[in-house]
Amino acid sequence: MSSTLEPLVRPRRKITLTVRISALLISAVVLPLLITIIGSELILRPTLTSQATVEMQNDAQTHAGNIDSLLIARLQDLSALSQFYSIQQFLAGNSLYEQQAKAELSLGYHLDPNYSAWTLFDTKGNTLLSYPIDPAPRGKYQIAPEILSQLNSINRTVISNVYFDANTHMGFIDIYTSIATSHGTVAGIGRSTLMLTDIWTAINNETNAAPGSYAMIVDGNGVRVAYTNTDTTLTTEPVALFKAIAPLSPQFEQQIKDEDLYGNNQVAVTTMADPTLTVPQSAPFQFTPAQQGQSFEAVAVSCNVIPWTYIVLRPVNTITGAANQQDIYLLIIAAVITALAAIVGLTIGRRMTRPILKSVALLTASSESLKKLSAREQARAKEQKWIVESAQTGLQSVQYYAKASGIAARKLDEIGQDVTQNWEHFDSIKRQRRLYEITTAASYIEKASSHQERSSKGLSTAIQVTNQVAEQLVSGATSASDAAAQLEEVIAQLRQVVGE
Amino acid sequence: MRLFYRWRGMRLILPCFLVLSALILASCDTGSTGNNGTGPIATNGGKGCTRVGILLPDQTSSVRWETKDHPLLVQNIEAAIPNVHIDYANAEDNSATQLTQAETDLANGDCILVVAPNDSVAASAIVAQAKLQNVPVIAYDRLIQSKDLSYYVSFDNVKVGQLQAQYIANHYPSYENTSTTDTTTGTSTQTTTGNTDTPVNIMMINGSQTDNNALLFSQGAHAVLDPLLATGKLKNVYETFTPNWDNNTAQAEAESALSDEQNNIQIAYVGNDGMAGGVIAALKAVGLDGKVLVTGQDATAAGVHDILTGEQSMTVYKPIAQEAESTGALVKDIYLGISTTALTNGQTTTTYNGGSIPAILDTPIAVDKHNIETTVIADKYLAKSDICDGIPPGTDGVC
Repeated sequence: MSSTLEPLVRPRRKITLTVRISALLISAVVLPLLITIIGSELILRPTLTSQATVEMQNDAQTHAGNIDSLLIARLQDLSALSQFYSIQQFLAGNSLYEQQAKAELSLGYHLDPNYSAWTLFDTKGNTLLSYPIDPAPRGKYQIAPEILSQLNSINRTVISNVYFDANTHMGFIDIYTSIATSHGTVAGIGRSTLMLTDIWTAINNETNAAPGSYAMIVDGNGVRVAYTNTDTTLTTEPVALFKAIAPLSPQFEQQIKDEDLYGNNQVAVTTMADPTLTVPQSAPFQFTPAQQGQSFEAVAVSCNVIPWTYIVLRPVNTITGAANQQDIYLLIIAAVITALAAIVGLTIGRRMTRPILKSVALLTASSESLKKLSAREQARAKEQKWIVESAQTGLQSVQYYAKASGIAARKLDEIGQDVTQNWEHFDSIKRQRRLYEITTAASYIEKASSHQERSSKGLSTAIQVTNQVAEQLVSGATSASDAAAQLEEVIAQLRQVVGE
Repeated sequence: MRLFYRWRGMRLILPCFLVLSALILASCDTGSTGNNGTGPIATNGGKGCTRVGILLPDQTSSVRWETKDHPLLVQNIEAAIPNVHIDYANAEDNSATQLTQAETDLANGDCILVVAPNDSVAASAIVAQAKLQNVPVIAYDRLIQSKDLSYYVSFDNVKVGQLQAQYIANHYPSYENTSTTDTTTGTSTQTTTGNTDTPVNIMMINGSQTDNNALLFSQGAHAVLDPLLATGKLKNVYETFTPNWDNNTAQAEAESALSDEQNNIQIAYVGNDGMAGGVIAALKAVGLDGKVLVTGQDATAAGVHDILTGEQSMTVYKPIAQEAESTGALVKDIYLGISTTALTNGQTTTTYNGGSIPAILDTPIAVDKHNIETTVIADKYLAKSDICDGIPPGTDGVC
């Protein structure tokens, strides 16, 4: 069996290992980032928008809940204090209890720093007792008729529309309750006047939620009764405050004038239309509010205690801006990491290729060495073949001449015996012929001997050459051994590279 | 090479893992409910109900919720309904958690809810959800501000104030104002010859103004004291509400009042025992401890101890066992589907929006040195070892 190994000729890669390692590292690092960016577009961006919406919903719900809690607490204040014995006795007409009733109004007044007055009225709405000051009328009335009409039975509470105190630059509401005697008849009306300081402060703080965000409260009449004030000195009111979101009915406009609602006597209530807000919105929505030049995401939550709607607004670009900014950060990170990966890849690639290149050089040297050795071996083989052939020829000659010498010797022996036995019977011619044959045989043996000597010399030469060839073969084996050692070193270096 | 085989193995495992994860995530997104998404379970207004949810507010505001209310409610409801299943949850001072717990109870088929709200306004959402399933809700100890609330079980908080004030009304003559006022300087000095026509000075240190119960205590107290104030028997020299029922603030308030009145105060109406401790400290500082009538509430060990030392005059004991027993009785009537009028006795409590809620308002008990043994000790509400530390044996027949 014989096989012929064809030399492996593969096209050398155009991209070096170092570059490929760098590219691989970059791919390994950048691909996840690219996936992240794509994910950002497909998942994160909507998620962020959703998160912002949820945040706004929570914000609006929390504030609406806080308003409910605040008003319930204030309703409870009034409800509890209105059942105090002296107040009931005073309203029932027992003037003995006036001072004590006033003390109890004082007690109620101090329950919340935002109370501006506690007042007792008779059932017709006339002021009987007030702390700390006598109340100013609400437009044409002490108590507006539509409120008074609701307080003609026991356990009735009413929260008024919003008024505005120009001196304190603050809105306020009146909380009313009917006060019954121990006999269960309505003896009078209690009223606490609550400044909206806490509510307006919460509305103003809405700017802290996100850049450009703000909030407003729209009351049941469609008037903005709270609006984020960008004037931090709070000496001026926001333009949109006490502006209606849609045109008001003539009847309500008249009521505003009669009761001086919303500070109408200082600044008349007008319309700043926001048609989107006139429709009840249970889900987050987007619109461009009045006097705003951009689209806003908005969430509206209704209060339970009072017909107010708390609306939180945030510029849409602020919400998506977070996603955009995140994309930019990711791209910057990707660029930086790409550069780092390239540098690391080059360094690692070089470290990896250095021993490989060294091994390649050694392999090349070994290959050259083996090639030379192979050529030499081929020459030696040819010489050896020739020597063997020569030796075979020489040996055949020696064998031939040895055989011829033997034949000649036997011929001589035969001639000698024949001559010895028949010498007397031979005539001279026969004797001469016999002698001639002996001479010829001897001459033949001599020639054979001479040829044998020459052949022996040839064999001697062949042996010498064979010795030389053997020495050269030993030398070739040594070279092969050296080449093998070089290959072992290459293997060791390659193992060092692969780590196994 | 081993790594290579591991990777080949991972190549098989990873897709399986991803598919499994996707399935798990998909299943998580279905928002499944305890009743397998079958929607609200309609109940029969609690009649025949054998699953009751108990929802308590926290473990931090008072140890009572876990150590007393929880076991007592379970005990009374188990006695009220045979083979009842009780779902108990504590909101850990989180209103949203309490709402979730209530939703879980309703989804699991609970047909009566007993709720001590963490937030009386936020808990109205629990009532709204329960109403959808015709599940009655009993507000326990704290009112839920919802017109749809079924029942309210608590103590008569107005009565608490009345008991405190009645004790004052009964005992103020023993604390005559013995001072005389120098009209030229306006200062008063203590004399040994008292003037019975001079009103007895009272300072009123109420509870927190953010606690509606404090307003009710004050309302009850004024119902009794106002006639005495109006007729000049008593003179209210100082009255305030104390933020968060803070004991140190109460002490500072008492110090301020004593200073303003040159220590001429004979009565200290104090909202609870904790604040009474602060007031006693202020009195001690001017040598008036034991000489001023001091009220309290809650029958705490410290308060009862101070009664035994004579520094505090009385407290109000609200037996939680009675409150839990009333709740158990109410649950039983709901379960039987019979009228609860006999239990509520026509009493109602109003919510902020005019809701009139049938209520069982258990009567609190005034405790002074004469009935400690027969109330808080007899009920095992307090042990003698809790209150007798440093008290001479035989004191008031208690220690």
